[in-house]
Amino acid sequence: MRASWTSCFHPVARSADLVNGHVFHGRLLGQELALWRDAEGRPNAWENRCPHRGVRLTLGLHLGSELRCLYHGLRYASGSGRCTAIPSLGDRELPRQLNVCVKTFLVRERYGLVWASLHESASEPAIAALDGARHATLRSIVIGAPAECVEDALAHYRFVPSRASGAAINDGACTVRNLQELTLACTSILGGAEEMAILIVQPADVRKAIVHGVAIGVSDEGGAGEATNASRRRSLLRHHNERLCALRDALESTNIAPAASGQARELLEASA
Amino acid sequence: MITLYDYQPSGNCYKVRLLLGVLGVEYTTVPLDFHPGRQHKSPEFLRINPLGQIPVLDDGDFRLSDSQAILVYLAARYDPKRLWYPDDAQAMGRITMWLTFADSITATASAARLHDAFFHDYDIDKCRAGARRLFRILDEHLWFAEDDGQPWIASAAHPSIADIACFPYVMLSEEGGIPREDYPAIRRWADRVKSIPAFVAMPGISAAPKPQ
Repeated sequence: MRASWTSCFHPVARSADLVNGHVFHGRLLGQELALWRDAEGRPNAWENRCPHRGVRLTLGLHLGSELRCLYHGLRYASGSGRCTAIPSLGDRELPRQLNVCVKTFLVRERYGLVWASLHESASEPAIAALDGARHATLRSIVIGAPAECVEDALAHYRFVPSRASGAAINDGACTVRNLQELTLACTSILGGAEEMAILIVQPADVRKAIVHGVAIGVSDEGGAGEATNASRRRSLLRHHNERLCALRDALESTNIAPAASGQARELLEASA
Repeated sequence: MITLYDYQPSGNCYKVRLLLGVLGVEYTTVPLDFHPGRQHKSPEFLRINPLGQIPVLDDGDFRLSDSQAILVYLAARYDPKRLWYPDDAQAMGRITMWLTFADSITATASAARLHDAFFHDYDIDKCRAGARRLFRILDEHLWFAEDDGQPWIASAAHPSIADIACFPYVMLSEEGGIPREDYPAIRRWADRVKSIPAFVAMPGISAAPKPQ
């Protein structure tokens, strides 16, 4: 893990993961997160720990604009994380000087993903190739390997464009380039079809990374040509899921140190 | 009156208690001293079930063992709308496939829990690895089903006994050293199961707290 990572935004969930009433369990650079969306649609990235007795907020109740801790029922407001209610006080009002707050982190939402930063970040999440493009968010894949290893292994990622689905994985030409740290653009060209997917590695902790992806050219929303789009989207999601799971299995089947990513490439090519 | 040979912390017994609860069917229990008494292996209980396993259900003169079989019987007998186990060949086939999957969860996640919490002798690493493999499969299945508008394991419109069967040992997995943080689709499905009307809890599985 690199020190610079603590002051920049990383994807920690898909936007679609923050469903109504659910508190999503995330982890970034070893920090556990409780991620949730309030009734107005605003995302929150909080430390997964009630300030009272340390119980995980992911076990708590999502009340719309507040989270309520499972243990003693303390409630915390969306946005500020400020404590708004302490049931054991009964009818008495909250003391005015009470300054109890859940620890909150910076949060953004772009490209169908929720991003968080543990400290002040110099830059916002920005991937030029996705701005203004139709895109679909892939299923996120948890990999039991450090983020650096996953990033190295993704340099050899291959997939088949959805318009050429059914082709063998080694047909066509795939190129991968790093857009920025932990962010890769993968392009696949087969026949007349060309497709790009952006893959972003979330460093969950020293032993675990999560690969998020955004595919360009299909949309998560319906629209013109809806049936075709939906069917292409489904086939594309399934395909990337299969490819990323193959990468995961290859990485997890050996204990790979960062220096040994050549081994990962061999395993990946063997599994293609 | 239905009688259930029961042990409160047993996930397999809880499957039956949960279905009886959501169906609104009355029953009494005969509590067994599973631990530390090992009453389920006593000569008296082996006469009730030679496999020495719980739950066992008596409904009048009809006696049935095996939690999955009991779920099938109760859903077929006490759910007049046949929502929990539809009278349709594909639905029954699909549900049965997932009942068998639930049995594999018992063999892995429940075994891990019996090792960690009840001091049973199992290969704990093999149990945990087996459970994680199954949870990955279940998470992937639920993820794509959810994306397709299907909130339940084997059905779209209404939960089935497949959801009841898979739920307990998934939710108790942490007691066997298997966290569920890496399975977000399973976590969302678990929220949905807890929101089923007349849901009942058990030690280790809380009901969805009511907003005050």
